[in-house]
Amino acid sequence: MSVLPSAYPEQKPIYLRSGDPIELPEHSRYVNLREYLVTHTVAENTRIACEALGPKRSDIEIRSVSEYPYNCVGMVLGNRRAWIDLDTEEIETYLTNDGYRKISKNELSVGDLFLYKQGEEFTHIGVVISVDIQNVNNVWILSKWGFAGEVLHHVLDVPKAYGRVSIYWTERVQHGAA
Amino acid sequence: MELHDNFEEIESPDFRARYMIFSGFKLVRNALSREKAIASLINEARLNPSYIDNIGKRILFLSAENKDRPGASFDVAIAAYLYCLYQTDQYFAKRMSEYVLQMGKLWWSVDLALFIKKNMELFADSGNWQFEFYGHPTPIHNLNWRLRGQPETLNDTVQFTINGAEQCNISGQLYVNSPQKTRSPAPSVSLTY
Repeated sequence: MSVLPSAYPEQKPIYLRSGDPIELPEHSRYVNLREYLVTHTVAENTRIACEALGPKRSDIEIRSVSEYPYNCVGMVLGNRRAWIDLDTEEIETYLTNDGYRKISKNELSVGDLFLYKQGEEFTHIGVVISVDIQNVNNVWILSKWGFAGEVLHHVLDVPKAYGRVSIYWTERVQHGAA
Repeated sequence: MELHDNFEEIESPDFRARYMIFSGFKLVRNALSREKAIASLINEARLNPSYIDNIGKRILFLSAENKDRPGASFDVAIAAYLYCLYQTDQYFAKRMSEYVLQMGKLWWSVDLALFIKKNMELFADSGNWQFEFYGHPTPIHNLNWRLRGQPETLNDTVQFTINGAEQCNISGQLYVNSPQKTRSPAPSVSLTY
């Protein structure tokens, strides 16, 4: 059974906790979501992206592949329902309006978010699924690689184009906060 | 690298997979601007303008091939070719953008087509005159009316400067449709990076 909407559906609006809408790509009215992806293509793209990482890929687990077009931001902020363009100017505003705040690496916990950066541009976002309290660099992430699948991976095992982790965010209430 | 080697590289599954991991159009645009095969194709097309037609034909061919496949099959390749056209013949790129927008199941190509159309309209709407850009006629030299704005290209921000700055063009790709829409003496524009 396909869960995709009927022909030429417009993406449904996504709202932040603040009530502000998230701007969705202008192109949605030009693209028939049903005709863009098929599962085996997504799987192939994911496999190629993983293989490009070299030997490390053996640790990587492909969690899911979906023909519905959502991306890393759509996974985190849109509950896998939307493609939300990762825009450097917007992403921090979205997170702040959703009650997230920046934290240090030492404060990381399961469920927090990682933002990757290449040069001056944010490139990718993922959710922390495991933290080794003995070694804060040993962090595992769940993230959606663009049109490829959702992947469970070590924080450093991402496509080169994503660059490195730059900022950590959480929506957990601060200790001592009212 | 030969023309057909570039085509082969751009249409390969590995090339496509590299772009399918991006989550934003700006990231794709930046990656396209750094891509060796694309840079090579652009250079060849600048040296041999007949290649521009070959690139356009490649878009038409892939569009036809894509009709019975998922849109993602050739989306990245079409976007790459559209990018090449935008770097070599902006007027042609705009026409191909309009074609791409009709296809109904592309993604990055549609983003790029919208970007090109928007930028071309920004160019054409600047100042008091409407003008169009062509791939091959006489290069613009100087402009005797005020042109405002800093239209964004795919690689660089281009600043228009009027009469006085040294003449140059944008990698040989910006031309004005003269003389019917121009004044006497011939209009002129100076472009600097």
